[in-house]
Amino acid sequence: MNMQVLDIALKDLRQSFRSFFALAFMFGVPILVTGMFYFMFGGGGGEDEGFNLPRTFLSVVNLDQGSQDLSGSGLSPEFANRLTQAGIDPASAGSMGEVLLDFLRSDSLAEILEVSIVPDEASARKAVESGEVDVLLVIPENFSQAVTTPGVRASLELYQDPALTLGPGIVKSIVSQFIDGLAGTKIGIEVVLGQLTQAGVPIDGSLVEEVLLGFLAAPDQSGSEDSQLLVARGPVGGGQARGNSGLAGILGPIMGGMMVLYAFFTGAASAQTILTEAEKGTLPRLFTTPNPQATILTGKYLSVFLILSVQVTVLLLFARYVFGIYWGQPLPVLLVALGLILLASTCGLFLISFLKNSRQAGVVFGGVLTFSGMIGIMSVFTASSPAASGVTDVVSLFVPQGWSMRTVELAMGSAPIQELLIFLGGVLVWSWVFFGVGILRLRRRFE
Amino acid sequence: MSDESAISARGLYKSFGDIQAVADVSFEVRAGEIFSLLGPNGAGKTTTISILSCLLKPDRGEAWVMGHSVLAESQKAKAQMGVVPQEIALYEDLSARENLVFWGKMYGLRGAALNSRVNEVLEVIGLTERDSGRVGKFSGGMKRRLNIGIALLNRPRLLIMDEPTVGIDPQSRRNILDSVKALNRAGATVLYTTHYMEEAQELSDHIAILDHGKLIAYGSHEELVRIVGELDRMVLTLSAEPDRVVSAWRDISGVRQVDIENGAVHLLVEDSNQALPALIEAAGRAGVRVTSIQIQEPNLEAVFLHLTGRALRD
Repeated sequence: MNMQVLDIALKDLRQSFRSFFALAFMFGVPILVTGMFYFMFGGGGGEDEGFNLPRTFLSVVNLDQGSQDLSGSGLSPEFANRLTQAGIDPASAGSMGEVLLDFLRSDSLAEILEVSIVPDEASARKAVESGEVDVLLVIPENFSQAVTTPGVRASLELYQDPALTLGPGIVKSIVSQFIDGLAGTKIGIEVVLGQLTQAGVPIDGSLVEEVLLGFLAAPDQSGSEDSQLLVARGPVGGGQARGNSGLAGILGPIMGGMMVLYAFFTGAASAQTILTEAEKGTLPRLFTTPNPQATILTGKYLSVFLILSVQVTVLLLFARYVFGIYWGQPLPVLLVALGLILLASTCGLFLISFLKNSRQAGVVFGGVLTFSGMIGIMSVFTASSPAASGVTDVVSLFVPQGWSMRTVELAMGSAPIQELLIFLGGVLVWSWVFFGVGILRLRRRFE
Repeated sequence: MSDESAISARGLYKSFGDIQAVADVSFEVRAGEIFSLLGPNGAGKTTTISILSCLLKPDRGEAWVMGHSVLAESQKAKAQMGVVPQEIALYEDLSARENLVFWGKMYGLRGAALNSRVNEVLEVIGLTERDSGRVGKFSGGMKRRLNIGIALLNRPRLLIMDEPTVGIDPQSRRNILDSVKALNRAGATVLYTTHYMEEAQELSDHIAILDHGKLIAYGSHEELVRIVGELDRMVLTLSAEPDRVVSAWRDISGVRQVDIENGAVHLLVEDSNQALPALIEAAGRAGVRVTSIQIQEPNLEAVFLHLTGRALRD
């Protein structure tokens, strides 16, 4: 590489880190926003470094009658062992209501849920109305049947204090994740059992168990490290917070969103120096030195890339060691970070190439990047609502920030590498288009 | 082009949309001389030197710098020159030394050679004591000096200076003019653009006068002054609108040219001592009083007035 490329990049880097405004924008604001949530939810409170959010008081009325197909006593040792690994008592496997109860009372949720089982639905409703309990969950009689029997439907009821939002939202999210997992499994079982019936194979409990075991084993076969029956997502946030529980489970997606949002701001702000240097005369002066135009523009781009590299690295490490956020396995995190840096830097180049002068940059920051950024990181705000998150998962992919955000979430959730690579591919496509258009326009402008 | 030529410009044309910035400009700058491009704002001076410093490509025509085509061998041409832009093109959040080190690297200097050259330039521009100060805190004159210093880093054989004295105090202006002469004595060829007639007159071996993108006169100061012969230039201001006396003044014997510029009347006359009483008398007949009189010996201002009918305003 031409040394002048590096000289230009390092000069820009030095200038950026001497600017209070740039530093505040790159590091201060994302950390500050995440820090607000950190302290809001009791982080840094001293002895308990974990989650200090006040517990949600949940009463459960379990009316589930169980299912003949999932009799606890008839389970094979392999299936019983599988359930035990997942934290579920094999003795309760005959009732999916009991399984759900076990899940709600599991250690991983003990910090945020205080679960009490009540036999009487009416008194439980009164307890919610009087404010003694935050949320009531009613498991219907045919819940297990609905899970195991094709065509049977059942509804879980959440009864909540309308004045509360966060606690009921957390419960709703947790139960929804559980139901989603069951629904997916049920669909799979229905398809398999339907095909077996068509083939003339008699269906009995042991066959259902065998099929179910196959579904439970499927993730292992696909190479995932995830061997749990149900994966608990963070109560708020779109990421499968396998490594993030409690407070980190809340902060992870927020910090990820802030990092993506502000990386794009930094990319545009850093690329904006092309315009400001042109206006102040230093860029034309650079063109009078014996260096090709390509060298100078490459140096300017490299500076954007390096500034973003520092920003993303600092934010990742700060969040990891101060907020305790788990970003994922090293290789996926490295790929995700590189993808974000690449996309934010090329996007900055692309946007700046359309501006006539630096005064127009306000439109980019205040309008384009803020709007597209909020769309891109919508999942941070809608994750507690499964219905909404389904929509935002799609809509966010209309903007580049959405693709980066998805890769961050996938890495945090330790998603299969294949899934991550698909979205990283999308990030590369966006980057390639941005870089191609941006550099072409800038070269024409300064010819 | 001749071997002694530092710059050779042939038939340069450049337009921006409907505006013809430069039209058929040709001139030659000999190695070792100070050559000035003189003209009012918008005359095409900056466009011309932007072409010569490889910032702009001409629509037509060709130019060579130290024997290298600015189109075909732009990198070689640029390596021979140092450019001082009209605006102060510095990084204000870096120190003077950091600026010089960065620009030195842009010219390919490294290591000890770079440090040594930076120290030399700091000495030349008188900023050794302030080398670690942020440029943003510097006075206008100090910035101008540093702006020039950057162009000296690569020991250029050709120094191109675009109106380096615009907007600075008389003392700094004097320092810059003296620096230009010193650099020229040290062997550098200087292409200097200005709209200050007296700067061109003081510095230049040869002068090209530009107006509306065209080169309208070219030669040494003496050669150019000869264009207007021995005519004196007079500037009179009046107590009333000049229109009332201009036609009468044109009929006075010895008055060769009368133009109105910004309410003042500019005249070229054969002998100002003879013409003055007649001018005052004619004004009196028209009911107008002469409120001030300025008489100048033949100079570049008179040349410009003679050639364009307009004053070369500061």
